[in-house]
Amino acid sequence: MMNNMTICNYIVGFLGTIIGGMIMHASAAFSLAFTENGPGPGFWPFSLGCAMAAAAVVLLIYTFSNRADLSGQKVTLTTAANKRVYMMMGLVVLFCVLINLLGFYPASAVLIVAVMRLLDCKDVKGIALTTVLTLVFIYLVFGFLLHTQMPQSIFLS
Amino acid sequence: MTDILSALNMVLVPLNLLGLIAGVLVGIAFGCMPGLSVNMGLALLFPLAFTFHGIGGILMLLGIYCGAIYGGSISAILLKTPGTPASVATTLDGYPMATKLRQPGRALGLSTLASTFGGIFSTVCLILLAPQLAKVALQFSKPEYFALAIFGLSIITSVSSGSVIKGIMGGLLGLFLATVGIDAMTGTIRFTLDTTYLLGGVSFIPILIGVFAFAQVLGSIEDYYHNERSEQHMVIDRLLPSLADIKRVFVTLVRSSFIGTFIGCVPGTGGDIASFVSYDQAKRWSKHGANFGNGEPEGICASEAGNNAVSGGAFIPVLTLGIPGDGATAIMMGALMVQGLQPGPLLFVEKAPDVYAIFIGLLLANIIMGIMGFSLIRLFTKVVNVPLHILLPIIVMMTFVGTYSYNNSLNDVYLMVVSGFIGYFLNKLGFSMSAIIIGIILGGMAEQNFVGSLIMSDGNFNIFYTRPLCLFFLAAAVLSLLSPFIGKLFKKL
Repeated sequence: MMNNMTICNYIVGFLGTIIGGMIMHASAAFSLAFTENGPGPGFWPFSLGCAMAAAAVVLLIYTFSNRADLSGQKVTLTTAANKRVYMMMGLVVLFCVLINLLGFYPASAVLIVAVMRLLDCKDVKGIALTTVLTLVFIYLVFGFLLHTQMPQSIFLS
Repeated sequence: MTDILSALNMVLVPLNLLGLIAGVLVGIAFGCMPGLSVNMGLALLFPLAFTFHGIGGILMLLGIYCGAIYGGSISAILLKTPGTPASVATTLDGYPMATKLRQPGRALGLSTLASTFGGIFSTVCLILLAPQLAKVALQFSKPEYFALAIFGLSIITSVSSGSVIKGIMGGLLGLFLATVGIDAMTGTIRFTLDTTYLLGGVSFIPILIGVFAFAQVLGSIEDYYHNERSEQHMVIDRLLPSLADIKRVFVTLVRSSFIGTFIGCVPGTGGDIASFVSYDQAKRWSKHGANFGNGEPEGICASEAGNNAVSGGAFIPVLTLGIPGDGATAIMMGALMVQGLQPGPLLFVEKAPDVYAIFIGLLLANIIMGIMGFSLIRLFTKVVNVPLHILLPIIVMMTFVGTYSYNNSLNDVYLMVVSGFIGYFLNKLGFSMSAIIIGIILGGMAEQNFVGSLIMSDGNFNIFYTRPLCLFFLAAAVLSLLSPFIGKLFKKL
C-alpha cells in the first residue's frame, strides 16, 4: 500500500499547526512583555510557534490548491522494504533494552548478528567475523585507547 | 607571523597530523561507498573529534570533509554510481573513459589531479579573502549579527530540495530546539520538561548523528531491499596523468576551480551545483566540446575541480560571518562551536592561531588527499565493493558508540535513536535534515542578537531597517527565501 503526498501533507500540516500552537501555549507561560531588558524569555519561542503554525497553514493551503499534482507523488510506508526498516527499528529498540540487561558488548553482538540476518546475509562465517572484528575494533579504539566506560549489565553493576 | 608559527605548531603535532591523515582516509572511504555521504561521515566521527586536544579534532573533520568530496568520484568513475551528489557530473565522462575507452586508471588519475588542484586553489582563495572579509565584518554589531543569522537561515530554501515550506518548518523546528534549556539572556529555564538532562539545552551531537547517520542507515536498508549493488573488477593501470593530458586540462582546471570557489562562497549552494556549472562551462569553452560525454578528460577535470573547490570557498562565510552554506559546513561550524571557537569576525582577532591552523589543515588535507589518491587508489577501488550487509551493521554500531562516548550518557543514545526514527520519516516526507541542523546551530545566535538589538534600541524595531548593512542582509534573506518562487515566476515569463 502506498500513500500519496497530498494525504501526507495534510497530516504534516495538521500536526505542524498543533505543534506550533503547543509551542505558543508553552511559551506563553514565560513573560512575553518588553522591558528595559528586552523582550521576555517567551517572546522568541512564541514567535517561532506562530511562524510554525503559519507555515503549516501555508502547507495545507498549498497542498489543497495543488492536490492533483501532489497525488501523483507516492510516499511508500507499507511496502516490504519499509517493513524491513520497521523491523530494524524494532531491533534497535530491543538493543536499547538489552544494553541495560546484558551490557554493551553482548547486546552489540546480538544486534550485529540480527541486522546482518535482516539484510539476508546467510554466510555464518562472515557474520561471525564481522561481529568479532567490529567489537574488537570498538574495544581497542573506545575502550582501550579512549578509556570509554561502555554501559554494563545491571546485574553486574 | 607569530600566529602562523603557533598554528604550524598546532598542526604539526604528530597526533593532530595523524588525525588529519586518518580523516582524509576515512573521508575517501565514506565518499567512495555509494549510500554513505559526506554528512554521514562527519556526523559519525563528530564525537571522536573531541577526544583530541585543541584543534586536532577539527583537523580530522577537515580531512573527512575534503576526502569525502573526492571519494565520491571513485565510484562515479568505476560504477557510474556517484558516492556523493557532487560527483554526478563526473559520471558523464569518467565512466565512459573507464569502460568504453578502457582507461580507468587515467580517469581516476585525472579526477585525483583535478580534485587536488581545486581543493588547493580554493584554500589559497580562503587564505587570501577570509581575513579581508573578517576585517569588514568586525564592524558588525548585534543587529547585523541578527540579520546575518536570518540570512544564514534563509538558505534552508536552497538546501530543501523537496519542499521549501517543509524546509522552513524544519528550520523553525531546529530554532525551537535551540531554545530548550537555560535562556542565555535572562537565565530562565525553558521547555526542559523538568528534567536535568535538558537543562544545558538539547544535545546537538545525538540529533546530528541521528538525522544524518542513523536515519540514512534506515534509508539504505530500505534501498537495499530493491537494489543489489553492482561490483567492479577493473584493472587499474597507469594513474599519473601524462603531460599531454595536463596541458589539455590546465585551463579547465583553473576555470573550474574559480567557479567552484565562487559557488562555494554562496550559502545554500554546494558541490553538485559547482560541478555541473563547471562542466557546462568547460564544454562551452573547450576545443573538444563534441567529445564531452564520451570520456573527455576536460569533462572529468571540470566536474572534480569544481566540486572540490567548493570546500575552501564554503569556509569563507563560515569562518568570517558564521553562516554555514550547507549541511556539511553546518556540522563543521557546530564542531568549531563545541571546541569553543565561535565562527565570525572576532575569531580572527581572538583566536587567530586557530584560524591559521584551519587554513593550514585544509591545505594539508588537500595535499594528503592527492598523495593518497595516487598511491592508495587500488585500495579504495576495493572499498567500493564492500557489501552493504557488512557495512550497515558496522555503521549502526558506530552511531551508538559515537553518541555514547561523547558524554558517556545512554540518554544521548536514546535521543539519537528517536532523532533517527523521526529523521527517516521526515526524509520520506520531503523534509531537509540540513534545515533542522542549521536551525539548531543558528538558533542561539539569532535569538541572542535579536534580544540584544532590541535592548540597544529600547524595544524599537526600527533598528533592523535603519542600519544599512542590517537592512542589506535582511533584504538578501528575503530574496533568498523567495528565490524558488522568483525562479518559477521567471520560467513562466
